[in-house]
Amino acid sequence: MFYNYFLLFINNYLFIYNNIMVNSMKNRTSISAKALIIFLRYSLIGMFLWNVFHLGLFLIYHLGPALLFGERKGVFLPVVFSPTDKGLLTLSHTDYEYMFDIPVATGTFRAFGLPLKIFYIHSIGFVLHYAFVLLLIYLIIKMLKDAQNGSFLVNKNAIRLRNIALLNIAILLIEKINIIVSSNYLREKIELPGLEFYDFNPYTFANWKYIFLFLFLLIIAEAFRLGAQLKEENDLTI
Amino acid sequence: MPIIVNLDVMLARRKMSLTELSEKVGITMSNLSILKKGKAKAVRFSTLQAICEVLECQPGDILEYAPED
Repeated sequence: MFYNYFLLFINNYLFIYNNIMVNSMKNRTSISAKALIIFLRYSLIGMFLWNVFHLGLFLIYHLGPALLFGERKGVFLPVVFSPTDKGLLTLSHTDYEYMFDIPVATGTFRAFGLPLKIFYIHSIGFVLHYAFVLLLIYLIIKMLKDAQNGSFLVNKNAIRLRNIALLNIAILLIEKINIIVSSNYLREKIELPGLEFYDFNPYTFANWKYIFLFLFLLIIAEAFRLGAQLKEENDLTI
Repeated sequence: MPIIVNLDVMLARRKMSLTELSEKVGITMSNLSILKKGKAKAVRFSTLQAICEVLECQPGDILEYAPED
């Protein structure tokens, strides 16, 4: 009985393997790329809607009451800190104990009833950040839609790619400014036993390297533009 | 574009339709249409040769240069 089921399973598996895997290997470039484009597009549409929902919640529950009634709800502000005490690391296979410390850590601080000025600065940063993220996702979705329709190498996509790079740089800057402003404001005002808070430290610049990636994306966008131009000329050569 | 394509004039002189030219030259109708409307960015020598052979004309009969003002 079990053996029959096993054979049935193997037969079905081989059938699926032959029909899907082997066929997709034969037309690997077209089928896999198109499937990936569709998957990415719908994932990004989901991400876009999630971000719209998140931004909407912020506008309704945070910014709305603050603007109308001056009521400030808890907002999450980034802080950079370090524990003042050293820790002890004990490894099971050795008899030694090691001292360790955490030089820089980052976290979010939930602050209630912030002064209106700080609240608005944070809100502007938050709204700008989400607006740029939404625009970024929208541009990628449009690019993928064009790719799905078979017109990937067009001038429109080169412009989109350039805007994606610029938006990424803007988002990175907003994040960094948010950390610097928030840490600077909170440093002298918050106290938590065992923790030391910083305003400015090497961690703030930890992922600056990504800016080079986005600058390189600008160069790729220029290459894309040239490629689109060449393609257009080739298409219009009779 | 200062280059004017007089393909329609030559077709009218030879009393030939675009479809007929397309069949004889071996170029798709859409490409010939691009050429006729003057939207083409370049013309291959092989295409020009084939068109001239079919229409029994010179390249200068099809292409004309008109300076821009």
